[in-house]
Amino acid sequence: MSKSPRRTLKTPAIARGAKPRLTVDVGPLLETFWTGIPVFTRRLVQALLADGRVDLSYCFNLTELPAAKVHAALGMGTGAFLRHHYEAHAYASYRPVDTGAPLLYPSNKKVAGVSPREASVVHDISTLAMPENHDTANVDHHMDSLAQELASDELVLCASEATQAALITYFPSTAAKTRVMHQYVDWPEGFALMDHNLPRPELGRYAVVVGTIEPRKNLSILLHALSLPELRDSDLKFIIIGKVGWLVEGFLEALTPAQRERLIFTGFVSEFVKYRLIAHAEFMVFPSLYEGFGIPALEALSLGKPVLAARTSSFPEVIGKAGVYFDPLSVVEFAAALAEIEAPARLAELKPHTRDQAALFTPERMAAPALEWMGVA
Amino acid sequence: MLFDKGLAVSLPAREFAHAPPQGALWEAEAVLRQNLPGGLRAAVQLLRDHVEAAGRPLIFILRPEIFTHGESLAWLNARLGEIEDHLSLSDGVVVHLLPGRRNHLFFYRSSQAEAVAALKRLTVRVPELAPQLVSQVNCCLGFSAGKTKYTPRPVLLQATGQAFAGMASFREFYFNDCGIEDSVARSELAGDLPADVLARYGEITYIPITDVAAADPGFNRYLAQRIRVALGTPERLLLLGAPLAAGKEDTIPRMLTRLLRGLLEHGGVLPRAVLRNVVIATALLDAADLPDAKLELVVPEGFEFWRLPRGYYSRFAKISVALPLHRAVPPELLAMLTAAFGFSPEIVWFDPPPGGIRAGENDDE
Repeated sequence: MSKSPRRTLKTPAIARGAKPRLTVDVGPLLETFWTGIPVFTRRLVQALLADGRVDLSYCFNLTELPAAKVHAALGMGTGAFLRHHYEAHAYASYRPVDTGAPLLYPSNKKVAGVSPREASVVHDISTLAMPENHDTANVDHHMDSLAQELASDELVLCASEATQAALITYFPSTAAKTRVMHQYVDWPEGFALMDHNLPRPELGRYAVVVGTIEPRKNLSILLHALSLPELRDSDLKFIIIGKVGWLVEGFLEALTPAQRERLIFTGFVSEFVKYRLIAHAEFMVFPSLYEGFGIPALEALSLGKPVLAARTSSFPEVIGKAGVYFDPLSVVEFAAALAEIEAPARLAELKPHTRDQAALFTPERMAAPALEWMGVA
Repeated sequence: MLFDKGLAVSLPAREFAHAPPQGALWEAEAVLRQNLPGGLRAAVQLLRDHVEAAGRPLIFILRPEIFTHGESLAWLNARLGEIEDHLSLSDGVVVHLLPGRRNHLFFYRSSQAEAVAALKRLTVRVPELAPQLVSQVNCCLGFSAGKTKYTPRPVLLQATGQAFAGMASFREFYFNDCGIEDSVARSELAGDLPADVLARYGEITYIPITDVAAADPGFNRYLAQRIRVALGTPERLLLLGAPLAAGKEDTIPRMLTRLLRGLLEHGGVLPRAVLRNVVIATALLDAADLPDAKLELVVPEGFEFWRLPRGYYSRFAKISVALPLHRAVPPELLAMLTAAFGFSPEIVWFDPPPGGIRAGENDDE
């Protein structure tokens, strides 16, 4: 892939000593449970707050949200109370968003062209490239206005180089205004100590798989592999963390007793339980066909766990030398890669790369493209 | 020469949901061993016959979207070697582009109304997609990107040799304007007409109706008029090919329903009687079975002309292409059809439906 020409983004003149104002649409933070895009939004806001060089305000549906309420939600780790306040008090005390300030959307926009300066984040283009893995309403939601959103953006932030490359393939006119915004992992303080003070989970030898159960996650490759003679008799179990998603009707019911013995589905778990399950795993398995970024892989690396990953989209750029890769459509390659990463010598070889790789992804790196856009980088 | 260094072909993933997990790269024979809909199978066979048979490499890619950049794209590039051309076998829902290669389109479902609608929707949603297509195989679709019109260069790849062995059966045409169900039920009860029913006529006009045409109000008005004309020419046979939908699980009652519903909704008045010189064919007519008749072929929109060898068309004394009045016929399309048929077709224009031209319809094939 040839690199697209990188041009300098327009930056506004800023009065000496004044912080430039930036409004972030924190709509995703109004959700009760934060996974995926809400977590991305939280990390972005926290990275910008920590940097301190922009004057942040917040909005949702073109309504300004009180900064104190948003910051409280960040502290709570849930949007339940922020949403309650919005629903109960908007009439009496909320104001429309200041459309004169630059507006940053951590996900797709509900409406384009509100502010003269807008930026949005494209996480992936799977609704375009693999719509059969989504329900029609989701495809329509993401695709109907994408071209208009991109056209109205001064800056298009992509969750990974993979997303940037894929987006430019289909929308080459956006090339000059795209930047990559890699996110980072930030486990809550205290998790490590709490885990240290608890007994090790009695789960035997296991690998961990993290993500909503849906077709794109490609769990079927694991099922196929478990029926191979060379894997059938292994004592390695697979703990699959994540809620049941879409288009998987019958998937769980179709599991054989032997597969059920080896696969443990936890459903949705708390961040701390996820932390512990990753921390005590041998390694992570990430067989997805396609990811915009793949934050669970980075979570595993941050806890010193190598990743057995599909050779697809963003995985090589996120996991680097701390993983073993396979063709996500080949059960033979998957089985060979599994045997490779299970070998103690290979696992020991990979482990030193894990935390170094995770350390490349920092709040400063995440905030940088937004700060460059604001003219303060 | 076309694809002179070989060809990489993207497969439509939804047709391979139950394929064995044997990898992202497939050979033609492995693809053909899968349970494929007819149009896709024909397209794969065509590519095999044109590319592989010429000694050039042909590699099919399942899920090309996973090869975005960096290491994954390098892995694919290493396996594609010197192949410079990539063709997306498109169902209309997805058109794949492969970075760094010349991208081509083969829309193999052009006979299907919902696939045509999906492709239109896609090119509106992604206006920069079509201008990146170097050519389109067996299509002449025009796309709009803002104010710019763009028609990727049409390329003809046509089947060669014997296409089929005459599997059509024939049904009488009975139209009950009070109940399509009654029409279909009576047809089922009457069963097939004798195989020699066509041999009684010295002149036959054959209209193989497509799913796209069956859904077009203007075409149904044209078709109904052809049927009314047939009332006054009992010595001539009007043979209507029933429209096939998805291809995998279609049945004769469903095909008949699709045909008759279009006529009921848009065709106007037709006699509620069995019309002896109007017959329905349930599959493609083998013209070689009618050596003595004077044959005319009327091709509606979406007809997959490329699936038949040129020899098939040589049996017809006249070939017409039926198009709505507002539809442009670019010279490239006429040239492609002329090459496919072996002689120049006549264009038959029919009036668009009342209410005028629908938005976005004036620049397509």
